[in-house]
Amino acid sequence: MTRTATSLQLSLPSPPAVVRTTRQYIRALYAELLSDLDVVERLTMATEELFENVVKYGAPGEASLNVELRREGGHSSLEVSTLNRVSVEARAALQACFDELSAARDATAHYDAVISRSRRRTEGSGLGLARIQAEGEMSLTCHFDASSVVIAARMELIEEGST
Amino acid sequence: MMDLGLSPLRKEGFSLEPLDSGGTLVLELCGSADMEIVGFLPVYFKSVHAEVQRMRLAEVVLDLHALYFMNSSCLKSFVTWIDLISQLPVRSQYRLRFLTDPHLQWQKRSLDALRRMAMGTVVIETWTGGGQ
Repeated sequence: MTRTATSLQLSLPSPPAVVRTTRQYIRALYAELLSDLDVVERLTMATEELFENVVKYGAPGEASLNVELRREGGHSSLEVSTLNRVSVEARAALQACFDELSAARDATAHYDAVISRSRRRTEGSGLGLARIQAEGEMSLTCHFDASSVVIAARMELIEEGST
Repeated sequence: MMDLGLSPLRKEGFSLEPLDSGGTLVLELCGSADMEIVGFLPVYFKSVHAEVQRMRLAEVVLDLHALYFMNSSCLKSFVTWIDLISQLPVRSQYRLRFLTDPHLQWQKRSLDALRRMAMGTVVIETWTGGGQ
């Protein structure tokens, strides 16, 4: 098995500029490792959405972003995950969002419903996680402990002619 | 020649240029529409919406062929704009015609979601270069 992992640690609050810099770095790095530009774009989008949520909504303290590419035999997978401290309010909102995501039978139909609901929303877009699931074709998981949350987005890959 | 009451929006890593292309209003978006841009887009699109009504235009062309990334908050700015259009009387509603680069596959994914939201308002075409 080969494993390529990228990890970024940061302390919140952090300036928004860190999100763009990180997204650009992840895109450049994984474009070198993956032959499929569409996969790189989906990974880039998921990285942006998850990391943006950390920077915008994470409680002060340590946080991290991890991206991991695993290749074993003919099977590969990509996972992007974030870890951050979370307030009680943000935890409840996040749990509700994941309850909806897991109840949705069709990722695209759910995304469309979230978009429709966001039309007149004034705070945040509320689209990020549904977008990762629908546009990114990635599965999402969420694990809480006492004061922090880990959110992971994962895709299985079929690679042809990858380096 | 249109009397465009719109100014360019230029930020680090992103630009939005309003152009008069033979009587058609073209908005050319370049770079990355992300967290550092999101505060500006809703205001800008609202002013475009007002200009389109003032000039009684039937469509706005959004040239995205050099837009390499868009986050969900910026995507939501388009959702709000489309919602504003849907609130107009039918005879005043106008189209948003998106010109895309098929090599940037996120564009199709994201714009398809907008099209599903408003089939009659959102048109997606492939950018072929030059004035369209």
